[in-house]
This record gives sequence, structure tokens and C-alpha cells, in this order.
Amino acid sequence: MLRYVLLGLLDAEPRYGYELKAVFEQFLGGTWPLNIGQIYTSLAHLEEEGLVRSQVVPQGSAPDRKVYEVTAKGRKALSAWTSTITDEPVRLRDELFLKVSVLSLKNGPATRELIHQQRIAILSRLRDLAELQDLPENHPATELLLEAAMLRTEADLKWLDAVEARLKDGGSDG
Amino acid sequence: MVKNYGLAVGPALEFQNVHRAYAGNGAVATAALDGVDVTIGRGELVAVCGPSGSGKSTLLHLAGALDVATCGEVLIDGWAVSGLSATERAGMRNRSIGFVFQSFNLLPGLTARENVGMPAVLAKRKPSEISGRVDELLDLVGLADRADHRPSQLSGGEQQRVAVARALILDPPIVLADEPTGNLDTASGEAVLDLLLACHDAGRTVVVVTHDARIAARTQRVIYLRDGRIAQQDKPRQRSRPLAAILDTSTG
Repeated sequence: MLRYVLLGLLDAEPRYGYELKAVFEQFLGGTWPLNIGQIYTSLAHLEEEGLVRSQVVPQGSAPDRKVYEVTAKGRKALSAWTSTITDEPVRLRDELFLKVSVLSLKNGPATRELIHQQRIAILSRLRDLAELQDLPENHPATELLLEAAMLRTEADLKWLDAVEARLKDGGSDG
Repeated sequence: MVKNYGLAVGPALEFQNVHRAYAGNGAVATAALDGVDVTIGRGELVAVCGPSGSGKSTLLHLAGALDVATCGEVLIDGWAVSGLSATERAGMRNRSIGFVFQSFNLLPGLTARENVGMPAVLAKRKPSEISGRVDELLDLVGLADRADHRPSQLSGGEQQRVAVARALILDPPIVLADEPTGNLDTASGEAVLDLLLACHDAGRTVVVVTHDARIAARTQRVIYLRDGRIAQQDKPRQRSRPLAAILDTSTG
């Protein structure tokens, strides 16, 4: 998927490698760590497949730069990817869901305790996200990500409420 | 500018083993609050959360002297509520508390300006004193141009902003809000929340009852109630984490 994100960024504006890395990081607010080696490897693959082409631009006394731009074939590949409907399975593989599921087998006070502690932790995450949302330098794409992260975090809290309500209804808890 | 609200030392609100029971069907009373101990410091911004029926609104009503504890003591701005007459409690509310309700509670026959000024009229302030302050507050909540509208001519968000202005007319050190955004769309809710945050920035103590985690996330401390008891309180703000520490977009 990285290749399409890079294609999309180059489609917006031709870039050289380091520049592309900086723009990529700004775009996703640093939430997808990449080193420059990974960028160059991806660019080399894209070039091999004819999705991008590069041009050496002399920089005077500084070393020459290779500027990459998207080809017509690359644009087509990008549009094929962006126009495909995403329908992935819901991912609930994080630890919290598994922990609560395991604890629910016994439905003892430990479940309640976990829910309490977890609620505080999730709320603290929501606070951090709310604070990050207020930063003026956010890239518009990062703002969209933050919105998604907040909504999902709120959903986690609501899920804990639902679990708690079910435990209470179950009544076997002391 | 941050104002120093209240000359008294000590917390803005203090609950000492507070119980509140309502007569139920038959002999058994229902406990709305069942032994709550909590202290809210001056200038704090606190959210009260919990499932419906957990005692959130009861706690807020007690904090605003709208209700009286069955046993235990509530101290508002350092003053004990128990033993006060209804008139004395009203005086205490005028002095110390501004209330914002979920359903706005504006008087339908009065204009926005008259609604905002009403508590000052009831507190027998001089009309010359009131009108300037009303204009100031309507300006603060962004409704200077709607001053002569009645509630029915205002949107929900605008009505709630009028209600916030009304809560501030007597310049109380404490603002209590009961689900202030519960009847509002997201954008109007944000505007009202920003006003409450501004109340806090100005040095007031602000307590918000809410089921909205986003609002809770903007406060300094969250008190969770369950079955009339404090189930937990989160710790005061720690240093916030960078985005990369809480969000991962890499697809590996």
C-alpha cells in the first residue's frame, strides 16, 4: 500500500527522495515510520515497473538530485487503486478485546477492574488526540486521521460501557 | 485575564460522605447518591461521567444547592449547605453558582437580552448596572445581533449560548453544566463547550456532567459515578504523547 501513497504524493508534485520522505511524514503526522532506505527501495521498484520516472537535476556545488514524477501508467495504477472499494474485515485483534473476552469466561471482579483501569487509559488517549487536534500545523490529511482515531477511541469507551452493562445484567459478579 | 474568584481559601466544592435518597414505592428509599466524598479545587475543570441513573445530575444539583443531602455535608465555596433555609440557599446560588441545563431552560416569553438579565433582576441589581453587563455577555457568546429574539426564534445552539451568558450574569466563581451539549448538533456543541472552556480559562471552577467522552477528554479530571458512588477518578493530566505514540497507520 505504501507504493500507492508514494504515487499519490508524487502525483501531487514531483519530488526527490528526501523531500518525499519529509512530505510523507508530514502527510500522516509521523504515524508510519519509514527510513530513507525504504523510500529509495520503493521508488526503485516503481521506476522498474514504469510507474514513475526520474530525472537528474544538477544542484551546482551540491550533489545532483534525482527528481521523481508519476508516468501515465503510474497515474492509471493509482486511479485503479483509489477507485477500488475497500471492504476489509473489522480488525479487533488488539489485546484489549482478547483480554476482556478471556476474562468474560469467568465473569469475576477482575473484569470489572480491567474495565475501570482501561477506561482511564482510553480516556487519556482521547485527551492526547484532542490536544493534537488543536495543533495549528497539522496537515489536512493528519486531521482526517485524528478524526478517525478519536471516533474509534470513543467507540472503545462505548464498548467498555456495553461490556459493563452486560456483566451487571449477568449478575454472577460479586 | 484570570480573575481570582472568591477570597476564601480551600476548595470550590466539597462533598463529605454525601447521601441523597428519594422516597421510592413502599418503604424502601432509592439511593441516588450513596456516600460520595469528593473535592473540587478552585479553578478546576472537571467532568462527571457515568451511566444514566448513576447519580450524575443529583451530584450536580447538590453542588449547586438546588437540592439538599439526606446526610453528609456539601460545602460550596467554603459554606456548608445543610441547615440553610431555602432563601439562604438561593442567596448562595446567586453568589457562587451559574447553572447551564441540557434543555436550556430559557423563559419563552422573554428576549435573549431579558433572559440573560433575569438573575440580576431577581437579585435586585440596579438596571443601569445590568444592561451593560448583559450586552457584554451577549457579545461574548456571539449573539449581540440576536439580543431581541425570543428563544423560539433561536436555534438550539444559540439558546444554549444565551443560557451560558445568563449563567455568568452575576459573575459566579463556579459554573455547573448538566449535559450542556446533549440536545445540540456537533458544531453547536463545540461552540458551547468552547464557552465553558473559556469560563475555566477566566479562572472559574467548571463542572460538566456529560456522557460525551470528547467533552470529558477536554477537562482536567473525570469523576465516574456508578450506582450513586464514585467508581473511579482519573489522574490529573500527564504530559501528552506525540501522535506517533498513539496512532499507527503503517500497513507492515
